[in-house]
Amino acid sequence: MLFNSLPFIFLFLPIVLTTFLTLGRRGSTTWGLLVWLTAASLFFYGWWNIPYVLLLAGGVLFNFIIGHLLSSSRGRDRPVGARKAILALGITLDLLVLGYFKYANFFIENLNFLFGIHAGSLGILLPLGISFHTFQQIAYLVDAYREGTEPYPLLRYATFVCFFPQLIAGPIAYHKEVIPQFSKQEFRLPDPKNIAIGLTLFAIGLFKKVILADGVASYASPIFQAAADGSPLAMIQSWGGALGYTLQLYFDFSGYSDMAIGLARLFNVKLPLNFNSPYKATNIIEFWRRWHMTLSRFLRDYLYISLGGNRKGPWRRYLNLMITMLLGGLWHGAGWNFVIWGGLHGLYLTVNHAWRRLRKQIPGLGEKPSRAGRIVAWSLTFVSVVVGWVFFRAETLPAALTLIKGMMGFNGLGLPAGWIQTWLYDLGGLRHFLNALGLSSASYIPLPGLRATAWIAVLLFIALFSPNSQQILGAFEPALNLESRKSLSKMEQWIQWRPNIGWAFLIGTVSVLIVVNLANVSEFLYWQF
Amino acid sequence: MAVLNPNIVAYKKYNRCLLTTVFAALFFLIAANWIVDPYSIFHTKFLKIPVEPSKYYNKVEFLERNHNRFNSFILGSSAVSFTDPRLLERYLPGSHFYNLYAESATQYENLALLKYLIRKGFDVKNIYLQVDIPIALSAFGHLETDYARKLHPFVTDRNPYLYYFEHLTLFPSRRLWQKILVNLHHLPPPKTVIDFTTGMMTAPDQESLIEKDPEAYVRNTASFPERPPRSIRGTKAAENLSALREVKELCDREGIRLILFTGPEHRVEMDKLVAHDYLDFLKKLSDIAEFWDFSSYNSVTTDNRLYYESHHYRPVVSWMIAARIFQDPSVPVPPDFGFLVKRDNVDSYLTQLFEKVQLLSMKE
Repeated sequence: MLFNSLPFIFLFLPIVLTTFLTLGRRGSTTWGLLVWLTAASLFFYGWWNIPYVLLLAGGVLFNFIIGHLLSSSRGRDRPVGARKAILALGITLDLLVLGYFKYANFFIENLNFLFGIHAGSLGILLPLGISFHTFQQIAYLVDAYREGTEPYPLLRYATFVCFFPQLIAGPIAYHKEVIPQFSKQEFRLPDPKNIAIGLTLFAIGLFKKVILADGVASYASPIFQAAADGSPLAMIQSWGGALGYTLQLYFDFSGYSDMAIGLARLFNVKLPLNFNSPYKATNIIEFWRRWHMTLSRFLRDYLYISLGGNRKGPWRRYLNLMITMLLGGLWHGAGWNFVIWGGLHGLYLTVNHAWRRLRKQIPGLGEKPSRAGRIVAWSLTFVSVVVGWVFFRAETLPAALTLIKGMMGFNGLGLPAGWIQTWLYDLGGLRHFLNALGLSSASYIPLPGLRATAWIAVLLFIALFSPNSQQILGAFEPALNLESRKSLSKMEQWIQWRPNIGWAFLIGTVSVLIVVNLANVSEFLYWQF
Repeated sequence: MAVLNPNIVAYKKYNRCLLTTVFAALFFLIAANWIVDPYSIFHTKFLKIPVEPSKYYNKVEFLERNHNRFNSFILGSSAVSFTDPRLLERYLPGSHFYNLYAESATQYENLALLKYLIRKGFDVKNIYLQVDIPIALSAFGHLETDYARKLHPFVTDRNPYLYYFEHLTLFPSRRLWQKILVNLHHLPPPKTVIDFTTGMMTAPDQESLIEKDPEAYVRNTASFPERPPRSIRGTKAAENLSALREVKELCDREGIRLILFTGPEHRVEMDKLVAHDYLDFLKKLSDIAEFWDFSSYNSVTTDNRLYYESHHYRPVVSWMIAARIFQDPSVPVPPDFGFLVKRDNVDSYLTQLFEKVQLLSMKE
C-alpha cells in the first residue's frame, strides 16, 4: 500500500488513526496501543504480499531473541567470545536473508557471465523494505552487544521494527530513538499539536511526491530510455534528463521521508530527520550529511567506524571510505550501476577529505572560502552528484556513458526542433556553420520543451533556494536530530508554519490538489530497496 | 531554536479548519464528477448528451448485461472502430460479433480483453484482431492517468469500488467543462457517434460531407498533406509481439478462430515508420501466426478519399478488408490491397515492401 494511494489515505489511515486516538482517549494502556499499531502495520505490509508478513515476523522474532541473548543480564555476563559468536550469528543470518532475496539473481547473472554457465534466475520477489528493516535490526544487535542495552519487551521491539510509517523505506531509525518514546505518557494521549504537525508534514511530503517528483518524471524517463536504446543524445537533452532525474529522486525520496515523519507524528512518535536540502551542499562531505541522513549515519556508525574509521591514518581512512560507499551503493540495488555510483561517491569523499587535509597543511589555503569560491565549490559538488545519479538511474553502464557523453557535448548542443527550423531557415547560409557548431535540430527523441525546461528550473529553484519542509516547521521540532540554530533567516521567519487559519486553508487546498492528482500511478523510487 | 507553543485550542482549530477545507473541496469534486459524469461511468443522466464516454468501461458494462448475446469479437484500436460487426456475420454464419475496439489499444489491452472474455465465460468462437502498426511499434499498455483508456475493473480484476472512487475524485477540467457546454447547447455535439449495442463508431456528418464532395473534404482535412519524418521505431515491438503470441496461444488452447490482420495505415502514418523496424515487426509477426497484411503503400492507403483523416479509414475500407480475408468476389478490392503473409512467403513479400518504401523515399 503506497502512502500516495486512495485506499491508504481514505481507508487505512483514518481507521488506524481514529482507533489509536480513541483507544488513547479512553485510557488504553501502552500495551493496547502497541498491539493495535503492530497489527495495523502487519496488515499494511500484508496488503502487498501476505506470505512475506511471516518473513517479517520471523525476522523480528529472530533478532529479538538474539538481542535478548546479548542484552539480558545473563547475556551480559557471557564471555566475550560467546557474545561475539551470538552477534556474528545474528548479523550473518540477517545478511544471508537479505542477500538471498536481494542479490541471489545478481550473483547468478555474474556467475553466468564469468564462467559461461547458463544457470536460470530464481523467481524471487523482493520483500518490500527488507534493506531498511534489516539494517535497523542489525543496528539493534550491535548496540545490544556494544552497549548492553536493556532488553526490550517483544511487543515494543516488534512495534519499532514493523511501525508502518517507516517500515518500507525508512528513515532508518535507531531503537534507542524510538522505543523509549513508547514508554512516555505523551505517546498514549491524543495530542492536537502532533496531529496538526503530522497532517501538515504528511501533506507537504505528498505534495513533493505527487506534484513535484511525478511532475518531472515524465521528462527524465524518455531520455534515459533513449540512452538505453543507444540513441545519441545532444547536450540539452542529456542535461534535461539528468537534471530531471536528480530533482525527481530528491523530491520523491525526501517527500516520502516527510510523509513517514508526518505519519509517525500522528501517532505521537518522532522519527529522525532524513533530508536537509542536500543540493545546497558545497562539498560532498556536507552532501552526505544532508542526503539520506539516516543511512549515512548507519554506515558511519556500524560500518565505517567498525572498519577503523579515520583512526588508522589517512590512507586507511580513504580505503574505509571506499569500502563503505561501495557497499552503500550495493545496498541500493543489485546491479553494477549502483556499485559504480557508490564507488564514485567513495572517490568524491576521498578527494574531499584529502583536499581538506591539504588545505590545512598549505598556508593560505585554509582560510574560509570567498563567495566566489563557495559558488565554485557548490557547482563542482552539484555536477558531481548529478553525474553520479546518471549511473544510479541508467539501466546499463553503456547507457550511462551514452548520457554522460551527451552531457559533455559529444553529440552537439541540440535545440528544440521547432526553434531550430525557424532559425536556420531564416538564417539561410548560416545553417551549415551552426550545424558545424553542433546546433542541429534534434533527433526523434523529444527535447525538453519550454514547459519541461521551466518545470525543471522551478524545481531547481525550490531545491536550492527555498527552505525545506523541516525548516518550515522547524520551530515545532517535527523530527529528531534537527540541527539547532540560533536564529532563523528573514526568509525562514517569514515562511514559518503556524497553526492558524491561513496555513490550514493553504495546506487544505494543497491536499485537495494532491488528491485530484493521486490517480497518477507512481512508485516510490526507493520502493525497490 | 526557540520552540513555539501556541495553545491547544489553536491546534484544534487548525486541524478542524484543515479537515473542513479538504472534505468540503472533496465533496464538491465528488458532486461535480457524479452530476456531470465526464466519462459516462455513473450514468446519472443529469446531462443527457454524452461527450467522449469511456469506451473501455461502457462496452464491458454492455457485455456484462448481454453475456450470451455475442460469441465473436473485433479487437484493435479505434482504427477498426468503423467496422460494422454485422458485416463479418455475413461471412461467418452463426457468429454474433461485437466490436470491442478500444481507443489507442495496444496488444496489452487486446490481450487483457481476450483474457477477460475467457475468464468470464463468454462463448468466444472468433477473434477478428487488427494490429495497428504504429501503435504496435511504439506503445504498450497505457498510462493509468489516462482515464479515457482505463480498462474496466472486471478486465483488470481490480476492486470496482476503488475504480469508481478514483473517478469521483478526478478533476478532468476540460471534459467537465466540455460536457456542460455541449449539454447547454453552447457547443455542438461530437461528430462521431458510438453505438454501444454493436460497439462500433459512426461518423454520419463526415460521411455525408465526403459523399457530397470528396475532393473538398480531402482539401479541408489537415492531416492528409503532412510529410512527417520517419520517427516511429520499434521501441515496444517486442512487448506487443509477446502479447500477440500469448493471444495466439490462448486462442489455440480455447479453440478460438483468430483472424489476424494489420490495418491499412494511411500513407501519412506509413511515412512515420522507420522502415527497418516496420519490416522486422512483420517478419516476427509471421513467426507467431499467418496474417493478412493491409499495411504499406497500396491503392487504398494512398487514396485520401477512403479516410476520415490519417488515423481512421472509412467503413468502405473495412468492407474491402473483410472481402479480401473471406475471398468475397462480389466486393471490388484493388489487387494490391491485402496479402496473406505466412512463414514461407514472408521474406519475398518483405523484399517487395522494402523496395516500395525505398522507391517512395527516393521520390521524396
